[in-house]
Amino acid sequence: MTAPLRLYFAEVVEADPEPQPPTVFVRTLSVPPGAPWDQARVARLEAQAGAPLPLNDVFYRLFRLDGWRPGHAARYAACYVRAEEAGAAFQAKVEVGGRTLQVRFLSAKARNRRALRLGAAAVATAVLAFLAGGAVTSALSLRAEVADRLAVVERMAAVDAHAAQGRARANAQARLLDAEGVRGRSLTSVLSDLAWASSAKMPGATIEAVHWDRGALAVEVRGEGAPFAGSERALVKQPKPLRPGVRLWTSPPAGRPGQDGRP
Amino acid sequence: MIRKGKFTANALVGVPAVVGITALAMFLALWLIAQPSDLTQRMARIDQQTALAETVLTGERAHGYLAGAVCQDARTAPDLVRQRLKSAAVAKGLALANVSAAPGAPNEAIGGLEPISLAFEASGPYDAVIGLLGALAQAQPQVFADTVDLKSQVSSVSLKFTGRLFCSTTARL
Repeated sequence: MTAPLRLYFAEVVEADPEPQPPTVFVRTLSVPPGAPWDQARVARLEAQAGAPLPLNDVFYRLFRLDGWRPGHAARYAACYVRAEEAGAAFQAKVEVGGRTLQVRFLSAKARNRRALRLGAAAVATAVLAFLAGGAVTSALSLRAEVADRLAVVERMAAVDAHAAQGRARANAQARLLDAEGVRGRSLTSVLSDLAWASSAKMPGATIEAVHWDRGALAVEVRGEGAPFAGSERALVKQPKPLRPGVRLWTSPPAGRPGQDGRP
Repeated sequence: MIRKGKFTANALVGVPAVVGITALAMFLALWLIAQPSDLTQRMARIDQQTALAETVLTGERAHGYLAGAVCQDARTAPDLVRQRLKSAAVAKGLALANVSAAPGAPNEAIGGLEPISLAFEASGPYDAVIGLLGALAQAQPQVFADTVDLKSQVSSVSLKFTGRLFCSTTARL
């Protein structure tokens, strides 16, 4: 037995050609001496005027090939590519005068998008900078306010500390003077005792002398009668006359509240 | 899809992290700017002064002596007291005699003070003598009396005074 013959129909389909990368057309321009911005403007005009296709159909980029020097012409490279081949964006390397240039072409839409993004970023940066500036200004203002308040508190603390030092010195002085045994022996105490003697003196008493000795009081009185009225201070009449007709009256140190701090 | 998922996951973690770190750094920077650089030292000094003041000022206060009761320079004090005494006597119209102001022996057991012995005699009207004692009572350093003898004469009184004043032997007492 023989196998039946089978027939197959084959359709020949032409394979898609491998997509070719867009061709970059490069031309060099020479621009007469001038200011850098003038040279750039002239090069741009010349690149547009000398475009191989209408400007709507090509993308072009311009590169300066040498540095600016006063009085020297400038060399530029103008790179063109068909817009329909480049699409939204296209990047290529080209050799110009022994240099390799990285050329990136962007469609108008892509450029607009990029400009929009850059604009948004610039606005955001400006807003952030404004906010940061405001925050820093507020912080500086707060710092000045804190410094002012701190200075006020320092002055108050210094006044308190000065008062405390004065009090401590006075306390130390008082302790030493107490140890010297001079409490109650200020001239104010003497004057107070003399003032009491004047005010308490009996109208008919004749006081010949007053002796004040470390707070104790003694008076020489002519006659036998008490020299002072009242019972504010204890008075002791000495039994023997000091001189003929003169008696000595003594009084122990008085206790008096006041500057001396005696109880 | 996998790449997009990774990107989303990275963004979900990375963006908040960057924002958080930036915010933290900004907060720290503002905090540092807002406070004076020597704030800590100044606050410590204020605390120290306040604590000292609180301790001393709320403690017991010694009474009984004038401010400046003790002089600081024992070498010049005798001359100053003599001059003050003579000026007061002249102003009151009193006759002054036997004025002496000389350093005495310090009490070694106590220390800190050098006594200056003061003695003088004056005669004149009673009110003038009292005025002289009043002028001395307000003097600095403070004069302390040991003995005061007042004797009545025909139209005046005579005063005989002995006393002391003190100067510090330590700085800033």
